[in-house]
Amino acid sequence: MSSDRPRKKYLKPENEMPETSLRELKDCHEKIQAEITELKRLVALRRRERVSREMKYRLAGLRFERALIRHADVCLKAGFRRDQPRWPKRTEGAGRWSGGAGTEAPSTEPPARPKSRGHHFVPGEFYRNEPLRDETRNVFEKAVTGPLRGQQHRNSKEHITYTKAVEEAFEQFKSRNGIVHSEDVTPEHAKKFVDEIRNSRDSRIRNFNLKIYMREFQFYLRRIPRRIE
Amino acid sequence: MQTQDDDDAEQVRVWEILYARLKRTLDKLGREDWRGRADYWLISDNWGSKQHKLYITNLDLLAPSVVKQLQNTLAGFPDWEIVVAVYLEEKGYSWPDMGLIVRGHEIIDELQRQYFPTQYQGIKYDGSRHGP
Repeated sequence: MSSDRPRKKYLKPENEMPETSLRELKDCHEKIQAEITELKRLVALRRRERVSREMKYRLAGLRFERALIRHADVCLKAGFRRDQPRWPKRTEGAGRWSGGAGTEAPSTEPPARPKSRGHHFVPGEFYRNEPLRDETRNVFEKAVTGPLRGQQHRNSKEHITYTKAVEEAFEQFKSRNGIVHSEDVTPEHAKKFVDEIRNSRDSRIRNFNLKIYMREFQFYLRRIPRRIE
Repeated sequence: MQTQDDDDAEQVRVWEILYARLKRTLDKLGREDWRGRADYWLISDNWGSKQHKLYITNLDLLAPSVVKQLQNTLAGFPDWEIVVAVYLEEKGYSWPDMGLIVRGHEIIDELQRQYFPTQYQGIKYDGSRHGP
């Protein structure tokens, strides 16, 4: 029977692969496989490192932002005004504010322009012109970095691009949340939207915010006195 | 002694004065739209610096007489400046960043006129110098 015939019979002895080179090939193959596995491990490690770096960077950004917001909040709560009258000298309570600090009645009218200083994550031009509830508008008004020390305006287009991108993001946010009219956006929605803008992956939004943080970092870093060893 | 709080209060005060002056001046010359679909956009965020930022979205507002009016708004505040950026919606990013820095005593010209239509290429500002 032909099936009983040995398979390699047609091969001439000189064409047969010697046992040693076969072993070498196997060894090589194993080595390559080991190297590939090692490379995969390294790539995964690098990826993890990169993600971890990004997370640390974002975390640092958020911490910094929180500090700025706290600073702005303290200033706002204190309600200090330079022109505010004080009790006259040599009277009881001399030098203290004579009223008005933090007692200003809350305005129900939409502000003519943002009163808080700094960069508004949701630009004032946008939220002032949207038919929003007052309390929703207040959330956007308060979502501000606080005074920025390291920023200088340049003649770039980033700001206008940012504002347009936020407008687009707001429309997408509304449609994702089944909201048809801006009046139906609640303060909770507004907070969620502000968070989305802060963590946005849209390069027009992310790059602008990151640039602001970076400049502030640099500004404060320059102010830290260097220790002379 | 001048404290940081005093500086901040002064910055806010001057920023608001200049914002009102600029708005008054610009409203006589054109219409504002923050999307760049009218003549200008004056940014209403006060970042804390001694600057105002203005987007010119209609090249007619780059006329020397208009820029002179903008410069006049800075009267009394010599260390303040207006950063004017040119943005045309239809050009988007095909035009590079360009603009003017208007100060009380000088204008730094960073316009790239080669991109402008012919009628705007000859714009010149008295007392201006070219930026870096």
